[in-house]
Amino acid sequence: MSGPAPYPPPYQPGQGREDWMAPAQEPLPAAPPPLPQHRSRRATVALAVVGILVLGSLGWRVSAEARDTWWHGESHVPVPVDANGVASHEGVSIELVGVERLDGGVDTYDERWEPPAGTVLWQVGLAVESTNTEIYSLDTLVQDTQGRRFETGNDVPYGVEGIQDSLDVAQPEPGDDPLPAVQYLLVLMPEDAEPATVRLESSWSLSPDYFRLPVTE
Amino acid sequence: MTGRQFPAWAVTVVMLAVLVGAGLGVNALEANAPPNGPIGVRMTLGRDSVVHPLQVNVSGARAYETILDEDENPLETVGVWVLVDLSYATTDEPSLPGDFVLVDERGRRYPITGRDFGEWFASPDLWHRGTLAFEVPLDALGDLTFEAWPSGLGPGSDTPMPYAVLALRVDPGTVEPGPGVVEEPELLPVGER
Repeated sequence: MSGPAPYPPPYQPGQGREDWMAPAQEPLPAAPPPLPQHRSRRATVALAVVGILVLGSLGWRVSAEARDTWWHGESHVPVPVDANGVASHEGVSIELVGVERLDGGVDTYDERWEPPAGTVLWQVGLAVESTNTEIYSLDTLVQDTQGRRFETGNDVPYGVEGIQDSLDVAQPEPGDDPLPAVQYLLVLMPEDAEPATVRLESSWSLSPDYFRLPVTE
Repeated sequence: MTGRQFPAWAVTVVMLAVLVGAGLGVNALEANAPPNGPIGVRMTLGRDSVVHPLQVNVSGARAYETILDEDENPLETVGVWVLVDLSYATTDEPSLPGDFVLVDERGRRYPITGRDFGEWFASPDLWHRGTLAFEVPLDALGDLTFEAWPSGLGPGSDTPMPYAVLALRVDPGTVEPGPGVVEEPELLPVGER
């Protein structure tokens, strides 16, 4: 027999499995030279940069929908309020005249309305001036000190003298009555709610900007 | 390499801080937009359950052959009407709940009827009690599952939306001829459900 036996050995029917698994006859190759014991600083920095880039790009992709719907659709950029308490944006100027607690209920066109036990009816007064022809109305919400937001016109009676169902912002047509000097709206809140700010929003015509008027004593 | 500028402990501290920060960020993101599909919250009959931004309290379900619509005319059906009595409010923002679904044992899903009535607008901690009407075939009765989806079912099943589930038992033998009356949603005094 000449030369070393071939490995693996040629298949022979009936041959034992152990022969197939027999160790190689050749000596093991020489071990590679040992790796350097320190990692290069450049490699570490590159690894960190790549990691940050990968995480960042994944996060950017995953958050695309959230960024679109929240960042542009939700009201999160408050319009600055000047020293006189007036906030102006896109031709609309709004001032919070007052937020007043109405104890004892209100008269509607046909009956007396009293809030359910444990709730309080509040009246919000807003002075609006506008030269904007595209914004007709704004959602008016009262945010309490716990961060809860209550929308005016919900769970409140209709047909109360001097009270509007919603806030008018549209510049009146020539010949129409001008906007009332102060517009009053009603909002119902639980007894433990303390008004902190009045928010005026519109997801269609204003977002992400909104009016945030602090409630002062 | 020699001339190390930052001590090992500082590198370790910074890396730990980055890890913890990333973890907190992911947690916050997950709480607001769960990335792994719908998250079911199990409700208990007669108890308040919270699925942001909704708080729900289901008091029970009953079945009728006929119910009266808002003009008090009988609404006929080839199946039965299942009326679910519940009260709900929101936690922190005004909202109209997205979807309410009744699922039978065979997995068939029934939305609230489109023939009349509907869900109602909810405000923070101001509870309304009312009734949701579902029109289902008679063989759907038995063990039912009630689902409340505060933000709606979403455009696809992969859209992560939180929802609440409740097992409801409505026996086929307890169907009343009716007509059942669906009460207008009523604003409740604080503390009532």
